[in-house]
Amino acid sequence: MTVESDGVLRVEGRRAAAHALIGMAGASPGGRSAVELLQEDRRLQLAAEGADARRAARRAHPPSAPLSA
Amino acid sequence: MPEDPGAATESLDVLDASAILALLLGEPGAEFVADAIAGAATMSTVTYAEVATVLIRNDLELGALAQVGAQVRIEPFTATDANTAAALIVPGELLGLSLAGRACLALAIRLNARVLTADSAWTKRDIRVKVVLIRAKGS
Repeated sequence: MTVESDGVLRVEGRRAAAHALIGMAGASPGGRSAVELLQEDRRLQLAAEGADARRAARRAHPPSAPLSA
Repeated sequence: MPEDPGAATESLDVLDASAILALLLGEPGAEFVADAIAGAATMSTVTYAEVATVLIRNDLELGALAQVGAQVRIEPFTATDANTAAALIVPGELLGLSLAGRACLALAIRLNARVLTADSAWTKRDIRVKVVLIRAKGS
């Protein structure tokens, strides 16, 4: 086997390994696309960050205690 | 500056989260991403975390991402990347880019590489790096 043919074999092996990754994660729930899944994830992330910010704001500025009689 | 897929990928490609998910879900464009991985491809650790989150959240096979990680170079999110990602906040906001998206672009800028994506929104503005859609629009 020549160095050149060995090199060709190595390239083909890399290509086969990379193509074996196609579809490896399974089927998307509800048939949603990759972009749709990412958009949903980012909406959830934004909601989590918003909730975190609100908690931080409440800690920094707690509501004043009601005056007792 | 969008490019069309099809040309052989001789240069280094940075994979964004949508490209990796398209590959792992077997969507149109998956073969283009696989060919890029067989060539020379990389991803940010932040992108890795984003894809892993989506896989876990949707009860998909997380081990598949580890297989990708075995075939691409995983680049750490450096202080340089952090500064670049922060500087991209204005164009990033116009594009609706998350921190993970800006981390991906920051890596591409640092490595002078192009970005592979399945998200056509990335091609709509000049964001200082070459952006390649992995599939034709509408497919």
